[in-house]
Amino acid sequence: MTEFRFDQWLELYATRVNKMRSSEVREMLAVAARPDVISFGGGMPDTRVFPMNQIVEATQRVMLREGHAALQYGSSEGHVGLRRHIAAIMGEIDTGIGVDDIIITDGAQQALEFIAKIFISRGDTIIVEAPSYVGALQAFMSYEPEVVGIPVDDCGMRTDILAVELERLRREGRQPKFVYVTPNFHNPAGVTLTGARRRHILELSEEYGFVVVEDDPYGKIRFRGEDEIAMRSLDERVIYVGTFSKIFSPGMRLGWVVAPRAILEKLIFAKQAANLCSSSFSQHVTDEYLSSFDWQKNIDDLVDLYRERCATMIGALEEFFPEGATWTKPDGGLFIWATLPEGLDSGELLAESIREAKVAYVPGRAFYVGVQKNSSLRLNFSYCPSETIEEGIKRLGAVAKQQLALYRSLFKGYSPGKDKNKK
Amino acid sequence: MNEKIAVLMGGRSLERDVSLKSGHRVYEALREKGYEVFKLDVDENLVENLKQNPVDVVYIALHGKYGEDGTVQELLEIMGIPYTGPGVYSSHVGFDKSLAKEIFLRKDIPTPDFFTLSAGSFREMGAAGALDDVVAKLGLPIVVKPAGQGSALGIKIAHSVEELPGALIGALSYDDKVVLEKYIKGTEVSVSVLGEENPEALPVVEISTKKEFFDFESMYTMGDTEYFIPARLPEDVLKKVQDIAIRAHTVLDCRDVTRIDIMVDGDGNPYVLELNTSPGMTETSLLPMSAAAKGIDFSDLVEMLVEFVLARKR
Repeated sequence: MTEFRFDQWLELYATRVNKMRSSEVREMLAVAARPDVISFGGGMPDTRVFPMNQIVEATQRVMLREGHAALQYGSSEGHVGLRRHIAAIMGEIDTGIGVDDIIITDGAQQALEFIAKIFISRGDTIIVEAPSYVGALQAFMSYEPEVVGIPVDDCGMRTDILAVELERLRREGRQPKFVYVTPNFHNPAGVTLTGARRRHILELSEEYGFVVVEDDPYGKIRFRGEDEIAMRSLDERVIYVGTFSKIFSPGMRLGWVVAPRAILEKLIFAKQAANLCSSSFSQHVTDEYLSSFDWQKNIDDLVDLYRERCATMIGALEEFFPEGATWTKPDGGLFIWATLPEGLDSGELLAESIREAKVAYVPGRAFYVGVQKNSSLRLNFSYCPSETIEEGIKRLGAVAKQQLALYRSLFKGYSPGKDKNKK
Repeated sequence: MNEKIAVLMGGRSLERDVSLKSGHRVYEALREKGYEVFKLDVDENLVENLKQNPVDVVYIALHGKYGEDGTVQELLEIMGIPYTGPGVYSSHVGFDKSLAKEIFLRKDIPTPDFFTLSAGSFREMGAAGALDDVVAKLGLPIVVKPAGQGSALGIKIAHSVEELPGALIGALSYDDKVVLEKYIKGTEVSVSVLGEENPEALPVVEISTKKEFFDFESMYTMGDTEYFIPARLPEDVLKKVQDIAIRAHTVLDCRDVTRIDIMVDGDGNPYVLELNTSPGMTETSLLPMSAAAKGIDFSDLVEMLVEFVLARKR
């Protein structure tokens, strides 16, 4: 009798590898890559509307002027010219931020990975929003932390609950390493953290001694209303993570971190070990694009487009979704977070939706640690044209209604124990 | 050995990803063996593609709906292209757990007690009112499975009457028809059967999972599940399990290869759960594992399946 091993190296892998799991959701979303499926699943900007000629021109200028540098290794901190632009962008938050307070990473995702790498030892406690950005959870989980999730409502993270949890952790002798928040147009929940709660988190960080990680990919994608004050502008100790993925191009793979000097030094070590430097080519082209073109106008055009698509999606939800369903009405960002009535499971609905309606989305359970059942759906509105959004929501709504009818017939027709009591 | 082979993979079933993994491995194996081989991700151009690139054999590495249920098999019959695996009837019946179990019962092949219900029976006929009777007849726990779905997708288990509606909603998301089956406590095993005239059973694989049953995640996540070949069962029980697998293969008129999933209760009685007509060929699949235990490596196994087709052609 022999025990069979699929993977002869099983005993050799690091324990963190066991946390990397395949999932039904990922399996099903593989189908969503097919062209006949309408997908609200990704978080992609609509690159089809980008000003291609500007990018061609920027690339050409870079190659003719400084092609050798664009093709060469660069510094681990990142290309100075690009960091100057970032400092200017960050000037809205704090005019004191200079080139030396910034390092460039491969998208914000790499910044999150580095933050996890320098702060989390196995078993350490970290605090996230529940729900939270799935990519951040993935980056954090590979360092094997204990994750505490704090619920989110219409005003962002429930800081009253955060305070209670911090007190509990203190009693248990656990020091949380950091609190990770996406204050503007939260992914997936679409909500924005109020100014009062931002201040509350910072007060708590003072009292309990944790680092605040402010992830802000969507801050500039605002449809209406005024910006809330950035946490970094209230407190210099905040780690701020930014990205060009939503305001320029995710294909460039460029993000950045602003952090206190001591933390920045550790991040630079992490950057050196990971990939020495981000793509010089991407950095030079992005620098040139920001220097030569009215990139702010391009963002304004994108925002106009997303505002319209968001409105289309909300209109379609009102028309086609079952009664009792609710959804956020975001003031910006890329996502609507819709919740089905009566606790219908959005993960199960996804199977039906792909099968019957050929519509995909990301079910709520993907955004929590250790949650199996959830009735919310993250719907992306930035990528599909309006007509497609309407058609997709129409089909999805029909499937949801069908599922709801089934659910009602099951739960109304069958109440265990009820008959017995009558007898 | 100049036969031209198309490996059909992917498609739009919920098991697309698994199928791509199976397909890539099969493709590599056939290339290694010297066949002229190309991959085809199945979409609406399948027929057109096959007409423009005539092949000698189609290797079906599809899983799930349309690939495993007789649909693609029927198309290939119409086009006159020989293909690997069981034919139209066997695929059709094998993919429908309810139909397969009905046939097993009629042929005295033990299978756990069960009922079949459709989404329509709940929506149109108030079937929920009969769930008390289902529980009274099958006992608890009850396994709820989509009738037509592979890779354990959508399989739920209800430990109490209260859990039954939720389990039904879950399973009905994957198919409009579900099988409610008595849960057999015991050893979960899987047997692959090769051939047609005198089919032969490969060594019995035991699946020992930390979870209650071998679900989708344990199937494709390393470390969650342990496998033993042969299964840790007495010699006579192993023999009984293999015999029953061969009988299941035969009564559904199967050929080439099938994988039969079986539960063995505490007294050594085997119960057939289902028969798969397109077993997975991924790195963590049971058929290649079982073949390896018999000294048949992956590329030999793949070639053997192609040889079965070529023999039929001759």
